[in-house]
Amino acid sequence: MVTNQIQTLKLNLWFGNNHVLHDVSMGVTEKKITAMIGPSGCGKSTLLRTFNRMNDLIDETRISGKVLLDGEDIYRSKADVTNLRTRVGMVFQKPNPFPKSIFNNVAFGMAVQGKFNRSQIEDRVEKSLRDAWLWDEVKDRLNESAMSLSGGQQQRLCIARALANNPEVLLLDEPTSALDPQSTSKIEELCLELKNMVTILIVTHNIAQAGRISDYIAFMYLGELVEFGETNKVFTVPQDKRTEAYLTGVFG
Amino acid sequence: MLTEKVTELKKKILEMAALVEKMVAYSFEGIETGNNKYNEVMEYEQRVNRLEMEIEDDCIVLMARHHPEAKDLRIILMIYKINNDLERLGDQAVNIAESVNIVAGNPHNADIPELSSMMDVTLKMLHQSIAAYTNEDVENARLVCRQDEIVDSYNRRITNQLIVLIKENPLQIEYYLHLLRITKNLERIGDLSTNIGENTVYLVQGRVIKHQLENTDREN
Repeated sequence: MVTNQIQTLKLNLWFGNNHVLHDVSMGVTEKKITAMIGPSGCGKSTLLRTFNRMNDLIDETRISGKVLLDGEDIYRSKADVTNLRTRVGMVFQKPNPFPKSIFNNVAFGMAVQGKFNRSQIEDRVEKSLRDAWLWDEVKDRLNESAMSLSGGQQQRLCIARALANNPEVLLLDEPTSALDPQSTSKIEELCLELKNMVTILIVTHNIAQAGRISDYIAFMYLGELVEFGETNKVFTVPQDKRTEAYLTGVFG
Repeated sequence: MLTEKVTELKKKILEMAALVEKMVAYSFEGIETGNNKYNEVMEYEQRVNRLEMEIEDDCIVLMARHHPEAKDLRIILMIYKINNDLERLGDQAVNIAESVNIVAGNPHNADIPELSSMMDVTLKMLHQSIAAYTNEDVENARLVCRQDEIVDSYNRRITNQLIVLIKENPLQIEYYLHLLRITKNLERIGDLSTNIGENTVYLVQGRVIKHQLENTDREN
């Protein structure tokens, strides 16, 4: 049986009086890529951010229902949010490296955890940079500022920074929409490689990108999960008329 | 990303082409001796049908998910069409094998000496069309298309001979109708091999040469 690493059960979310997510129940398969698509404002990024409780940072956020990670409710009262965020890493639309050296960007999470010695950190930094396909480009300039990297390199640095915490899940919120086509295809191929190590959830406005790299598609509309299924099926014969309309460009 | 998937798809279509070529060769093997290969043909038919569905599905998914362009698009479109042609070729082989199973070893087969030459020419044509497709060899692909006329003239001559024979020996009509069926199916194999040749030209050059369209405005 395929196990769902993440499972939401009748998840509802409000920002103040604004009801953003409606009864979302969805399972995310381990070590696969799930793409979340839908028109702007449909709630896909909000849903993504519930998986590592990033919405907690917004005032007046209220949720009902459950989000399970490996069967455990991440919103239970004694849940350790910092620990959750090391297990569920995140990369955002705009590359956001810290204004530190390349090395210290990747080492940051481990340094904060305070349980690793110098050589462990060095090893992990190298491995993470290799896994993010950045090592060869930066190995001779690890002490230079991360700000000196190109946009595509910065985004791969952000992926390396997330990987350094050995996450089980990687959340990518439109990770290529600020990048040129070449950097975009590099990130896409990287995702296909990384899914051997981590479960990937990606929010994208680029339908073609979702088609190229995802195993599963979640189509959202007006805060509802309209359709969820294997990409091969959703892209050829979607079950819901709204999915069909969105994929063929009738709206959205 | 797309390149590897297209390479996999190409491997599958070549595997299917090899099976179909063998099927056609088996379909009339042993017509004289009676050691025909009906069972082998039927067994291959199952494999070919499974592959056809698989390849069709792969093409649809690749087009839906990867939006291929230029040569990638032509490769996938032509695999989609050749897949269909190969499946039909498999059906022709089954038809021939069924009739051969009935007429194999019959001494009257010698009444139509040209039938075995027609078989040889048709099988060679199929072989050349598949080889031209495999090697993306436009010259040989065009050569295959020109040979269709030879197969057609065999078909006309043998059909006329059979009409005469049926009139002379009406009691043998069932037997002769099987020979007619074999002839008709060989003629179809020639047509389908021509399709593969035409599709190969389109794949490599993007030119439509069917229905004598070459040298007309479609080419420009």
